[in-house]
Formats: sequence, C-alpha cells, structure tokens
Amino acid sequence: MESGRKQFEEEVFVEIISATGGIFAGSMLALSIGKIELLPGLLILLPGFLEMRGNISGSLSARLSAALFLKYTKPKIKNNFLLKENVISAVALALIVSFFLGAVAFLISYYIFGIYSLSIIYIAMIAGIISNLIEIPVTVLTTFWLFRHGHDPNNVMGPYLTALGDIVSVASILAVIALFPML
Amino acid sequence: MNISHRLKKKIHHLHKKHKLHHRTIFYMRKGKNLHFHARIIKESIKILILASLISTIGGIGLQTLQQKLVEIIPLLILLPALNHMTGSLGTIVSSRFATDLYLGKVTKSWWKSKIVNNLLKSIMKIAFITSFYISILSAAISVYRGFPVDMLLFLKILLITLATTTIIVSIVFFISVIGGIYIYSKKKDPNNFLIPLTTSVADLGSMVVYSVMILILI
Repeated sequence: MESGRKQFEEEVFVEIISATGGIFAGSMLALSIGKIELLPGLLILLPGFLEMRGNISGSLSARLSAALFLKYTKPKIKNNFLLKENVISAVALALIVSFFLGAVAFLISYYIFGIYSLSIIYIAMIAGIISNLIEIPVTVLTTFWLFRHGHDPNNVMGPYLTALGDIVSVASILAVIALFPML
Repeated sequence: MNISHRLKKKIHHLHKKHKLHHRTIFYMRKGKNLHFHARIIKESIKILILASLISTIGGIGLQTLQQKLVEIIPLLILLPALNHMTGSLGTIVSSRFATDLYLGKVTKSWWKSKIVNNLLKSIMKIAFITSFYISILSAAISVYRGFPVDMLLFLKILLITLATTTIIVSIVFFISVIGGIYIYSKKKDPNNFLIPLTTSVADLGSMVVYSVMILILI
C-alpha cells in the first residue's frame, strides 16, 4: 500500500515537472503570437518537432546510461568512442527528421491549406541544428553527472529531457524566425 | 546472437534493474570497433519518422484553429504541455499494465480485476491533478501577460483540458489492456508494442480531441 502511494506520488511529481516545461514553452509561443500568425505551417510543424527532440535525446541518454552501467564506457568527454558515435547518430537523426518534418509541414500547408511556403523546411532544419547544439551537450553532461553522483540517469532524464526539449525546441524555432527574417 | 551465457545473465540483470531494453544493452557491447552510428540511425529512423509524422497529423487540427489559438492565449500556452502529458500518461499505463501481466496479477476477466481497476483509478487521478495544474498555470500566465481570463473562460479551458485527458487516457487504457493481453498471450513483450502504440495514439488523439473541444466550446 505504502509503495503504491510512493509510486503514485513519484508519477505525479514527474508529470508536474514535465508539464511545467511544456507550459514554459507554451508561454514562449504566446510571446511570439505575431510570428505564428505570419508563418504558415508552424502549428503543423510544432507537435512533431517537440516529439522528435524528446525522442532523440531520450534514447541518447538511455544508450549512454546502458553503456555506463555495463562499464563499456566511462563518464568522460575526451577520447570516448561510444560517446562520439552516439552524438554523431543523434545529430544525423535530428537533421534527417527535421527535414522530413519541414517537408511534411510544407506539403500539408500547400495541399490542404493552399499556402505555398518553402520557408517552413528551412526553419525546421535550422531549428533542428540549433536545438541539437544546446540539447545534446546538456543531455550528455547531465547523464554523466548523474551517473558519477550515484544516480540512475534513467529515472531522472525522461521528465527532465521532455521539459527541456519543449523549451529548447520552441526557443530554437522562434530564434530562427527572429534571426532569419528573410525566410 | 553469439553471446555467452554469463553476458546474457548480466544483460538480463541490467534489464531488470534499470528497465533498459535488451537490445539497447546488447548493442552497447557490440558497438566498439563497429562504427555503430550507422546502425543506431538505421534502427531508429523509421520509428522516429513515424512518431513525428503521427504528431504532425495532429498539427493539422491546430492549423485549422490558428485564429482561435492566437486570440485566446491560454489555449496556446497549454498546447506543448497537453501534447506531452497524454503521451506520458500512455507510457505509464502501458508499462504498469505490462508489469502486472508479467507478475500474473491480471486475470482473464480483467474487467473484474482489482489491479486493473486500481490502475485506472490511479491514472485518472494523475490526469485530473495534472490537468488542473496546467489549466491554472496557463490561466495565471495569461493574466500576468495582460490577457483577461474571466471565470467562464477559465472553466471552459479547464473543461477542454479535462475532457481531452479523460478521453485520451480512457482510449489508451483500453488499448493497453486489450493489446497487452493479446501480445502477452502470443508470448511477446508487451512493452515493445504498447509504449510506441499508446504514445502515438495519445499524441495524435490529444491534438484532435483538443481541436474538437475548442471548436465546440470556444
């Protein structure tokens, strides 16, 4: 009974953390209402983009945690073959999926809403690169830090990465729109 | 798979202890000297594209409501939180139900099972608490930003959030139970099947139900 209550409390806590990140990301969107109105297809792109970031970082962290627990790698950045391979794959996956999402958003905008806007593809790809630059180092460093301090990264990283992924993804999209107004 | 019995035991121990998938642990070992980034990309790309595509379909509903989302700020603020919340609740339902199946706690007449009823009650409680939390927080942030949220609008927002989560959690619960029992009867791991399925259904369904609820209530 006691363990059931503890499990319930843990699950509520995790949901609250993840939801807080989502609300923070939503607030950033609300601050940029004008940009949303100006950019056709952004709302089509958004759910898939948020999903992608959480999935890529989540599996990166899970793979690194597995390697750490199996002692196939050490929690260090330099001369770490496994880390290098994992980072390469995460970057490549983010670029491929970003392009795919942008293309799908473009096609849906064109064929369903009758709006021709190629910029959504560029925005998806550049935002994918920017969010990678932030999220991959944070994921790697946090996973290593947690492991070094005796925690199991699997128990912490899920909600943390979901919350962080939402914030970073929305911030990256908005940053691209602000930095490249010609798009 | 040419691996020793000792390694198999070690992998199984790590799978149990840290809830990591066998395959994830396995190719950590095989990774060295293989340039295995190509393998990770190959194994992940299909499911990543599928999951993102399903979420993008949900985005069509949002695009049709762009004007309302832009005019009523709390609805826009809620969006990312609601999107992830339902997916995350789907993961909780699936993984807990799969564990109950493995532990033999689920009987054939699952609808009479105390464990299944408790799981439903527990997940609904979490959905209610989180729905209240995100509704209040989004309304508070909107007011702070100068957007007027009266009691009627707040109640509508709360109703939209509660209805979206309740409908999606009920669907996800039903899929987990029926799908889980079926997969388990085929002697396969329900986790591998249920988690991607329920999160995809939740991601797509939440945006569709959210859009429909906005159309009805706002």
